[in-house]
Amino acid sequence: MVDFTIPEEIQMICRGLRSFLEKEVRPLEEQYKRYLEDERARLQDDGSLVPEFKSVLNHVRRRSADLGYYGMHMPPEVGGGGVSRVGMFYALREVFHHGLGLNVVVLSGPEGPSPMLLQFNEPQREKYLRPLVRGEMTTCFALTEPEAGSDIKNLKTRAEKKGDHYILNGMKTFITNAADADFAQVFAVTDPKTYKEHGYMGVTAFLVERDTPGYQVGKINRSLIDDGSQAELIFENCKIPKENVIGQEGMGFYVAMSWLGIGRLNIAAWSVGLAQYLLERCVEYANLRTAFGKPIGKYQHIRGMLAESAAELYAAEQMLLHASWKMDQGESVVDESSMAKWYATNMLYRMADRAVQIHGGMGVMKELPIERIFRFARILRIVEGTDEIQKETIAKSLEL
Amino acid sequence: MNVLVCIKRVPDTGARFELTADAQEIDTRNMEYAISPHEECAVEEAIRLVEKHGGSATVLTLGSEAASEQIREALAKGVERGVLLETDGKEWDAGATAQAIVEAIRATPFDVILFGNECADAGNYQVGVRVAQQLGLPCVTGIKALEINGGMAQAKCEVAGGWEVYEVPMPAVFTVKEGINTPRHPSLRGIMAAKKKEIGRVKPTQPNVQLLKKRLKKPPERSGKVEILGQGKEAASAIVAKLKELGVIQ
Repeated sequence: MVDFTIPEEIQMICRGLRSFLEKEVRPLEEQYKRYLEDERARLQDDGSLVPEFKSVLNHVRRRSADLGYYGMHMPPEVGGGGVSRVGMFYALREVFHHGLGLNVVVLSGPEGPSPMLLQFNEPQREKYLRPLVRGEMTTCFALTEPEAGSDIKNLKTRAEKKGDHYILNGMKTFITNAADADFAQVFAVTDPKTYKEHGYMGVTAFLVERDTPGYQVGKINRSLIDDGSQAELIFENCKIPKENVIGQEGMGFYVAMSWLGIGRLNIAAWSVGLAQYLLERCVEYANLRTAFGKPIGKYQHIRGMLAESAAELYAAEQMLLHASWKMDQGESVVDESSMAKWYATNMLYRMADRAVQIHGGMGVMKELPIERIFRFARILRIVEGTDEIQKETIAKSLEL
Repeated sequence: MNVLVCIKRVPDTGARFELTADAQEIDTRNMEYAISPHEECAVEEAIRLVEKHGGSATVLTLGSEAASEQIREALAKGVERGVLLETDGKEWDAGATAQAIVEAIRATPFDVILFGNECADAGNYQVGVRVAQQLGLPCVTGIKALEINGGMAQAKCEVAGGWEVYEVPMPAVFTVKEGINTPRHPSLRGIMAAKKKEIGRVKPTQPNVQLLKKRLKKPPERSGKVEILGQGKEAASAIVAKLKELGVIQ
């Protein structure tokens, strides 16, 4: 029997998050709105975040972790809450329903703990994973290179085994949180022959500490939303102990794949929350703003836009719920996570475009959060696999 | 120390609301509910008293099954036990509510009984005082500080220019005002623990004689007005004229 009832504890988690966001995060957003309204105010000359804004983000992350929310998707044995994927869908939707402010760090993203790190041994869990769950440390997922994004067959970063350690050389780019991460999860070719023959094998994932000699943060990548979070990482003869291999040597790509599905579902859930936020702002504005003697919400053009948005939002929610539920059953959701990510991010992009249009001149002004969400929505169609990569995955499932 | 805190499920104070067509109820479709804000502070005070002095806290409410949502919220914050005086959802006036609470707790010794100063929906200011009167206990209303020392409680109420300080023997009843503390958010651990905590249920009998509600009336919505009186120094005389018109200056 299909049961769409939201479990009581999930409802309570969402209410708890709402209380935290409204009573604790929103006053901070008001206090530091100069950084939220204008990206230029939050960036230093090199593109990195100004220390004050960074410390506010860290404060919110740690407060959320204190309450047990930040890493709640992780299992209890590493300090998480063991919340299901369905639960995480509702929680992420709740958090992003708040808009695009300090809330973005309340639940962990690529800078935080991921199930991939459960492959750490016990000393590594104690040293790195539990502090990540507690929001005391951050990390980054360093796979992308200038010539290798979703196409993992073109990695140039190499790690050569020398006795009880590896020598790592190479460069990564567009790495979220690279500038601030306490350690990186770096993917490098360790068996060039196998890699050349098989493509997906011969790549190993490493835990690389920030203070490793030869570890260098390159230039900050400026972007459409200029959040100061993407940067290059450069490795020059970094000596990595063999204990720092994550998972099995040569199986790094499979390690990475275990995380990609969750990352895609997360971004789809962000999209649903943000679309809900925009829809509510639009309805409010359409009822308030009058033109030619009546609220613009009484005009067919506006009504049509909002009706389509509501229907598309509903469709995205149902896709995500089903994919999340399926993942909770232990089933593969490679296809569904691609479908949900593609559909939800494009749904948000259309919603954001309509939101700008409905708000007219105000829609493109920085006084309102609409234009920023519009820019952010465009980025979501790129990260964690572009639209085209998602469609390629879907097409493969059709045996094309 | 055994602390009882009584709460009420009320429509979220930030929500827009409409009345039903017969003006007897609030239209609850799509409405969020919460613990009344003063009572949220009372819950926090109960938890802090137990954290400081030991013992346990119990949360009680009178309402329909839906009100167990607010009991669970208090349990998630750290209250140990919940009691629901379960009704069929019909309105209970302050006298009947107080009577039901007194009957439910008469046999249970509580050292401190906390209420919100007034509930956010009806704003009657009555239930706490009525419970104290029926139990023959001292009562201090509108408190913004509470200290326990031995068998005595010191409660402070904020007044213009200072504080009124009351010392009363326990057990005693206090009605708490917002500002006495900053209520905590429920933690994930608390939420998971609340699932396992039992909520005791009692079905009180509603007395026949009650205040009769005629109808509800929605107050007119406040509207803001922005008027640009001029630019630069030319605006000064217009501002003075407007202040005189409003009676702010002579």
